[in-house]
Formats: sequence, structure tokens, C-alpha cells
Amino acid sequence: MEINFVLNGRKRREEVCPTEKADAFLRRIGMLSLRNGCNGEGACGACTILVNGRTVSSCLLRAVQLDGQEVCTVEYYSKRRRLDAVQSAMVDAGVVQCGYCTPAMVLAIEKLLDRHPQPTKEQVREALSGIFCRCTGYEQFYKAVEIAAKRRQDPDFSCEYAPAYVKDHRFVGKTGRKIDSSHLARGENAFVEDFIPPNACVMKMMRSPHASAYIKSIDTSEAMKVPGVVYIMTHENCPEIYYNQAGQGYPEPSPYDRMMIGHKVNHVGDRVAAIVAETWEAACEAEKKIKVEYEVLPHVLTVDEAMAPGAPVVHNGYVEYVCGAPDDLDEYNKGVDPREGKVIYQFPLRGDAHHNKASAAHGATGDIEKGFAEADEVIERVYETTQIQCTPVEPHIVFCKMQGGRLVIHASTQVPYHLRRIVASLIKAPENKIRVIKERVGGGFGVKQDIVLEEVVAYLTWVTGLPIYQRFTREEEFIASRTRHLAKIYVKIGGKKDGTITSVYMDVKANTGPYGAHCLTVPMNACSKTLPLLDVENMEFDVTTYYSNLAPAGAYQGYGAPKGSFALQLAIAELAEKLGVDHMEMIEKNRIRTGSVMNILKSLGEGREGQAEVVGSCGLGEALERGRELMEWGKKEESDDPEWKIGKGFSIVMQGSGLPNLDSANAEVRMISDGTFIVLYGGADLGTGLDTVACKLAAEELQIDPDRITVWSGDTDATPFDVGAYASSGTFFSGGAVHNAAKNMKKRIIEVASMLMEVPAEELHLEYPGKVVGGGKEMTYWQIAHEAESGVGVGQLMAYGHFIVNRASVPYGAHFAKVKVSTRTGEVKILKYCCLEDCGTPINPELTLGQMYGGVLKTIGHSLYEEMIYDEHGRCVNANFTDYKVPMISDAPDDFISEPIITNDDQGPMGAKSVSEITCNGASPCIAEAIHDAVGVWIRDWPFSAEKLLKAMGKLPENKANAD
Amino acid sequence: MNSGRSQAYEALIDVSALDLGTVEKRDGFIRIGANLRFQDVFEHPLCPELLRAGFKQIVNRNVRNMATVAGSIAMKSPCSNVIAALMTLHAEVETADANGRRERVSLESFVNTSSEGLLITAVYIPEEWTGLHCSTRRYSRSQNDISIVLADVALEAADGKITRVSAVAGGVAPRVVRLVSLEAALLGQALPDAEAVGDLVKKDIAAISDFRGSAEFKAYMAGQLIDWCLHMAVDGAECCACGCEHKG
Repeated sequence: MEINFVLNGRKRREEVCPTEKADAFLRRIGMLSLRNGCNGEGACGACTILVNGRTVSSCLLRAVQLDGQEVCTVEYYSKRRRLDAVQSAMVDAGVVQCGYCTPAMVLAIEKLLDRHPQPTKEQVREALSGIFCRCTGYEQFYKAVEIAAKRRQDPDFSCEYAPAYVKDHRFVGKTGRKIDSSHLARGENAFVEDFIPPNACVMKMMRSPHASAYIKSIDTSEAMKVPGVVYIMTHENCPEIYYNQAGQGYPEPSPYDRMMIGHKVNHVGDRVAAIVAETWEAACEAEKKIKVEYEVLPHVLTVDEAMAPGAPVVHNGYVEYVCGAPDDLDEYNKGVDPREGKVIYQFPLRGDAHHNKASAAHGATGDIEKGFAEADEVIERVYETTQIQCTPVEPHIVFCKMQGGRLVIHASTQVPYHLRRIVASLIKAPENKIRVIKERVGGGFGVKQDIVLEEVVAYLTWVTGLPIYQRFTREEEFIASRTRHLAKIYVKIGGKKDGTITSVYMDVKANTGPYGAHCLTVPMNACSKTLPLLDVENMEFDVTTYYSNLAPAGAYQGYGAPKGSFALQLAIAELAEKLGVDHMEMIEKNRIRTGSVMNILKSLGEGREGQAEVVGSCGLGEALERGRELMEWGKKEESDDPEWKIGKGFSIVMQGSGLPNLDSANAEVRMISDGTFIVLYGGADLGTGLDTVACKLAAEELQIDPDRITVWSGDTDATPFDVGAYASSGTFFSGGAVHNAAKNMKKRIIEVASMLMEVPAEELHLEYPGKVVGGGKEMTYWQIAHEAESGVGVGQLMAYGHFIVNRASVPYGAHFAKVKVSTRTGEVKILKYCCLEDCGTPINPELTLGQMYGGVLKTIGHSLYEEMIYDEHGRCVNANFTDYKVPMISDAPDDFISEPIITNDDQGPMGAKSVSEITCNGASPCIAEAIHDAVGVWIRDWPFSAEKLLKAMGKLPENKANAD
Repeated sequence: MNSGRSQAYEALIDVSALDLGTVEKRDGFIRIGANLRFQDVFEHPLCPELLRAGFKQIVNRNVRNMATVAGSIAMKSPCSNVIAALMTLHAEVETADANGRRERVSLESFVNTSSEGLLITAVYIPEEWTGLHCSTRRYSRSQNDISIVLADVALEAADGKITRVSAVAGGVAPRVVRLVSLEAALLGQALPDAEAVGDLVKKDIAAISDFRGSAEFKAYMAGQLIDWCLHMAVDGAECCACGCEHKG
């Protein structure tokens, strides 16, 4: 049918299908700024448009409902490549991180300012209330709106968008537009979904309804007859190649325990059949016609179930080792059922698959029993964390095509090079036959470190020769991608009355779900990023990871540290209370300082032998001091309302900056014909601003404006190898490689200039903007490039940089929370939150702050309400944004403060350390301590729900919660 | 993208083009046209304060810009802030059947009986209830969450005793529930203590357990929130969620 409407000021007449959704229709006619993050629930707001001047979620509308309406998208504000006041304000304030929600936010702010030219904070919150942003923590949107309001009156308005933390650089440490932010604010094509041609086939995955079952039979014959269906892969025609989907350095410390589609399904949502069809409708129709007969098996969901004697076994098949096989392996494998498949360890991880144990580790320093004997008080506590989904607004998506006999993969990934390697192993082709292009990523947070859909689509493209894409639904994002490992952590800790901690033992039992991606390293991280904070002689840990039939776990921002931090930091607070010692004094007495030796790291290598490290730059003391000042630490506050009690808490945190001796990064800098530069590096910017980091580091070193440097990244054909964006390696490793390449380019420029200028190299230096000066002469980069590229020149100037370390810089921080707790209802409200992080040199100050706010708000969500919940059949009952709650702007603390603590680290590029992941480690323990300070109860498991608090306060009987 | 593709429906009827009126006073009632958007009603000066507070509990502005009063009523959701507020105000629902025959029934009756084949055309709120002291409070996990437990109260008190009262709980049971036992017990009495209120609330609701909370928790919360609302209303204080001035 035909509809007539006004789109962005122009009359349009379009043919629509009566049931076509408005967001899909608008994208079909070229409005690419419309995004979709919730599959039509109307919960994420990424599809926001203006209809007759009001913000609405277009996924809740049919295209026919636009008939007669006036519709506006962000394209209206993006004419002639301009940025209007709102867009430029958002760019300047640093709220354009991944950019997936940005067009929606632009529209909401435009209308807000139409209604209220000088809006209050409450009006800003109300205007943005329907749009989900997982990256920013929302806080800087208030600044963005303030700038936009002023810029609407005065287009030249500018101000300090974020503090300049570093004085002695021109670009590094100073605000400056994120290099892709204008593009994203205009809603231009950027993400994988924007590059899928109309003739591409779609891949739909048929998924298991059972938590554990053999596929007795599967018949696709009727499905193949559906017009438009071109190929179906099941376990019967899937190559028998085992691999792990974890995007980790090879050989991975994760077992190869799956095929693309196996004979046995191991969780609700596991793969049963991959259907390739010309249309989504045909794929859906085919799915209905596939006949599957399951032999349903008993399942295990919890660690306790998985480790129980006689428990159902998730992987009861052949176990193999690439190296280090135990002598009794043949005995171990006797009588296994081939339908169970294999588990192949690259090297021993102390796993016992036949007893659901995926991996284990142990380590110690000192003698914990001696330490406990010396203690005046010893406490033992168990802390539990839940399964959390990373929820990037852009779900997983991939588009693959054949080009010139090679496979080209357009991916939203954190690990382009690991993706290439894993796909190569599955299609049995050398890596030079594959090109991975990382497009802009609409949020990663760890979930896009793993290869959870790319490999199947790539394989099917390789087999069929067809262009194919797959985009996860929101439900698939929950049940078939990656989640934070659940953990049960036992802590035994002893201390003296003077506040000295004498001994610590941690026993981490983690639940990895059905496949062991990151099964060793995530739980180890619960110890390796927490215990080294303590200058305690006696420490020991055990880590065991169990398989279960829950949805798969994997990496999530913070990795294993948030749960370990929750357990250990809270245990210290509990011990302090028990000893009658001030918690802050206890931390000050036992924390590490610059020069301390972190001996426990000797036993905390990631699948390799670790090494003790001396603490380098450490801003922990300054972070604690600043936090105490901001939070008015020690001042007991009373609420005006007797129902509500106020309490305060704090925690200290650390992380890493990539993986020493494991990670590596490479970069190249090319001077081009007019003396400008192209930087090529393998890093993967997920919206964090890594490309801008690369640009600024090069600009600083080469003394040239950042807009004279083009950054190209994450393209395996064009850019040099990099392990990818994970383990907080981006700024440190990838940035470090760019910095090294820029330093080498600087050397080369001076070398060539010396020859051309006939001035000794040691007398020359680079001077802004882009010239070499010395010996009373100067030469511009343009002149140098021109000479170099001439018929008698030295050739194009190119420089290469490599970055590896055997000791990575460690970021530190302190978090402080002030909460109020209702003694009537058990509700918890965060009144104030302060996040202080020592991230070395914050290269992009506004983006550093955004990373900090974003990480904190995610983990406030984890602490208070985020949780995947299962029924007894292993089905996740809240795999959507209506039932699984994520923090929106109205959930952010009223008083929300993030400040970097500046240290100059001697390892990282221009003193930089990592910033993002560490911000996830502090919320849970400091909120839990604040709750205790308010109402006197310790809540030891996530989330800190009202029901749990009521039970802890004795308002409800302690019996089963969350029944049914 | 696949997620945005068309879906199959037996029938899809868009009623947005129907002119079902605005917000107006009519014969002792405030009449609200059925397909008015929440935000339209919210911003209208005739919108009763309790209903305005109910709209404000729906934090998502995009939803308020799209959702209609009739749509919300037709959904009959147990967590509906709008139904709870309207039921507390003793609202009536006007419907039209396929023959154009109009009928008005109490909202309570409407949500508890089948309404197949009916089109909601308007909601009528008796003005005699809109001037009372009112209060509402909800419990949800996050601000954009549905109301897991919801309490709405409107009352009139004189000489420390309650002379008229309407109390409704949402979220706890399969439908929004009028708390008839509580209402009856309160009439002519001073406010009892929280425990007594909680016991009376439990008489009127058959709380259900789900992943958001156990039945026991929800029943307890309903009692606490109702008790809080009763005190707020009696004290003539401001509505908790909207900051509105109480009437009366």
C-alpha cells in the first residue's frame, strides 16, 4: 500500500507492506541512522525518530502509521556534512563513544531544547529517559546539553569540555574531538549493518529448546524445499573440527570443546541448524519445517550441581591434549560415547571434563596457616555473583562475502586477527585467503572478544560462495553470546587487632556454562586483580571452573576482577568490623605502595608461569585521599525521613594494562605526498576512542595537528598484527605500538631532513606545525615528502613500531558510595558515587571520564538488579530488555563524580595506563559496605535486591526467594 | 535487518485516526478520550493529580509519547500504573461494540471481564474522587522497570477518621486489585498500624511468585506501600512520585 508523509522536510510517497515495521522501512529508504537494539520491545530507544515533533520508538510503529505524519530523523540535522549545535556539543562533551545510540540522543536533545531552551538536570533526565546507552554512564550528557543550549544562542560558544589533566603536551591529555565522532553524530554509515547489500542472504540459527540433549535425528528435506532457502548446515554436514570461540592469544588457555554444530546440544539456545536463505521469512519458514528428534538428558545449572557426585556430565567425550597429556589418558577415555564429542586442551589446565571441571589453578605466597595462627580474628565468608549480560546496544552482527576468491568478513569484533585465525582453521584455508574488516563497533565490553557467530557465517559463505549476514536478536545476545561467569567465592581472612592482615585465602568456584571460553583466565583474574593490592605476606588461592548447562559465559569488562574484588574487599570490611578496626585504617595499613613487591603474581600467570612484580607508579594513596575528601569520609549523615538510613562505603581496585609476555601490537606510520600521515595499526576501537589515542600520540610525537593524521585500524589486509582490544590492552599496547612507530618516523624525518638541509641530525628537531627546524634553517613536511618521493629521493617515508613488555603498568583506584536504604522496603538508592582512577596520563580526558562513568554505572546495575534468571529447565526467563533491567539515565546517581588521578608511568605511551576495565571493579563492594553502614546487614550476593535486604533485616523470613 | 522485518498478524488495526476527543469536564466527570497519548493527558490541566503521578511512574518519555490511555486499559496489565490510578479514582470505561452501541462500565469490572470485540472510546473519572487526598508509590528494580508492586490511595478524613477511601494494589496479582477488605475496615476509623494494614492487604490479594520476587515479598511490599500511601494521604502531603499539591 502507499503512504504519503513528510520525511525530514520533504514530501515522500512510498510503497509499504502493511505489516512492515517503521524502523525497517525507514532504513530501507536510506535512513541509516535508525538503530535497533531490542527487537521491537521499545525498551532501548535506539530507533527513536520524531513524529510530529515528538520522540517515539519507531520499532513500535508500523510503516503505515507514518501515513500523513511529519517524520524527522537525525539526517535532517546532518545536511551538508554539518554538525548542528546539539551534534557538535555531544562530540565536544565526549558522549559519542560507540555512537550506536547517538542519533537517538541527538533527536531527544533537539526536542528538549525546543521545549526548554535552558533545561534543568531533571528535564534532561526526563528527555533522555527512554534511550539506553551502555557506554557513557550518561553523566556527561548534562554537559553536552548545557553546551548545546549555549551554542544554539551562540554558534561559536566553547568552554572547557573536560579538565586538561596534562599541561606539557599539545594534544595528549587535552580535549579534542574523537576522530570518528562527527561521522557517528551525523548518523552516517558506520556499522556492519550499514554495509549489507540488499542481495545478501540471511543466516538464521535454529536453536535448542533443551538444556542438554542428543540430536537423535534431524530432517531438513522439507525445509530445503522452501523457496529461497539455499543451504542448511546441521551436525550431519558440519566439519568435525573442534575449536574454542574465545578470542585469546594462541595457544589459548581455553579447551577446544565444541564444533560449529555438535551432535549434542549443551544449553537452551545451542546451535541445531544454520539456515541460509534469501529472505528472513524463508529462513523462518524453513526452521518450522526442520524435524528434530531429541533425546533429552538431565542437566546441571549450578556449580553445586555440577560438582556433585554422579552429576550429569556436560562433556563426557574424548579428552585430548596437544601437549602435556597425562599418562592415564587412554584409561580416562575408555568407553566414552562419540556423540559427546571431544575436549582438546592445548596444554594442561588441570581440568577433569568427565567431572564437569573445565580448569583449575592454585597458587600461594608465604604460609597461610602460619598467618591465620598469628591472627586475633579469622573470618570465613562466601560471596556469590550472578550471570550478567554485557548488553551492547548493537547486537552481534557479521556480513561475509567472497571477493576475488577470498573471504571478506565485515565484523563487529574486538579481535579481527583472532577471528581470521579461527575462521582459517574452520575453512581449512591459509590466513591470506581471509580479510577481516572491523567496522565501527556498537559496544563490545568483552562480549565481542569471542567469535560467536562470525565463524559459521564465514564457513557458509566459503561453502556456498554467497554473501551472507547474521544479526543476533536480543534474546540470542543473552542466551547464545557471552556473559559474566557466575562465581561462588569463599574467603578466609585473618587479622590482628592493630589492623594488620596476616593471611588471606580465596577459593573461587566459577560456572562457565557449556563451553570453556576463558574458563581459566576469568576466574584467575578474580585473584590476580585483587590479591596483589594487599601487601600481605601469606596469601593463597584455588580456582576451579565448572561446566554447566547455562548460557555460555566468557569475557566481560573487568574480566574476573569485579567478582573477586567484591569478595575480597567486602571480606576485609567484615574483618575490620569484627576486629573493631576502622576499615579505612586497615586498608591504609595493608595496601601496596610504589616499590611494594607483588609476590602473589608469581603464581598467577595466564596459563604460563607468572612473575613477581614491583609496584611502579601507584596513585592509590591519592585516590583514597581524594575520595575521602569528596565523600566527607567519617561524617555520619542522617536522613530527614526516618524510613531511610544513609551509609557510606569504599573499595580499592586495580587491573592490568594488557598481558605482559603474551600480547603484542604493531603499527606503521606513512608520510604521504603532502607531508600528512596515515597511521595503520591493528588495534580495535570499540567506541572507546582508541583510534583517537593513536592519532593524538602520533600527532604529539610528530608535532602536527591530529586532523593531518588519518588512522586506519582493524583491517587484517591493511594493518599490522595486533591481538585485539581486550585485557585493557588498547591504549597501552596498541597505543604503545603507534607511539613507537611515530618515534621511528620522527627519527626518519630528521634523518632525511638532515640530508636535505645539510644540517647534522643532532641539531634538528620537529616543530609544530609539521616542520623540521635547526641550524638556522627549516623544512616543512610537505617539502620533505616532495623530495623523498621524487625521482632522486629516498622514497616514501615509512616507519614501523612494535610493542611488547614483560611488565605491564597497573592502574589503581578507589571507589566511594553513599547510599540510602529503606528500612521499610529494602530499597537501595545511590545518592553519591565517586570513582577515582589512576590511569597514568589520560590521553583523551573527556573520553577517559566517559569510560569511568560508563564502567561504574554498568556495575551499579550488576550490584542492584542485573541478573539472568533461569527456570528449572535451564531456560533464561528474562532474556530481553523488558525483564532484564539495565541502567538508564534515571538510574544514575544524583551526584556522580569521576576523576582521574594523574601519575606518569614509565612504561606506557606518554605515561598512559589502561582505564576502562578497572572502573568495573569497585561498585559492588563499596555499595555493599555502604548498605551495611546504613542498616547493619552484610549482603554477600548479587544483586542487592529489596527482597534480600528485607530478609537480612529480619522483615521477611529467610526462606526460598524468587520462587518459580 | 532480520529483527526489523515484517511480522505476520491476523489483523492489525490502527485507531489513531479516530477522533475520540480530548480531556474535558462533562456531567460531573473528567472525560478522557481513549486514544489520547499519555503525554497529552499528563500535560493537560484537567488531568487528576493521581493519574499524573501514575504517568510519571512511566519514566520512559518515548513510551509516554506513544502509549494511549485505551491501549493501556485494554492490555489489562497487573502492573499498569495508569489502571491503578484510574481504578483508585473509580473511573469508568466507555466502550463501543461492532454495532456502535456504547456502554459504560466500571474500570474494575472492565479489567476483570472479557472485552473481546469492544473498542474503548473514553474514560470517565468522577470528579467527586479527584479532589481527595491521594498518594502513590511503587517498587521496581530500576526506574524504567515495570511496577513490581504498586500502591494507590485516595481518601478523605475528618477529625482523625477516614470518611472515604479508595485503595488499589498493582503488580502483585494477575490483575490490579481493589483492596475491598482494607477499604471497609478503614471507614470511620483512624489509621491502624502498619502491621494491621499489611494483614488487611493480604486478605485482598492472592500474590503470585515470579522471577521478580516471591509472593511473600510482594504481599509484604504491598502492605508497606499501601500503609505509606495511607499515611501520606492522611497527612495531606505531596504525592510521592510527582510532587503535586494534594487536594482537599
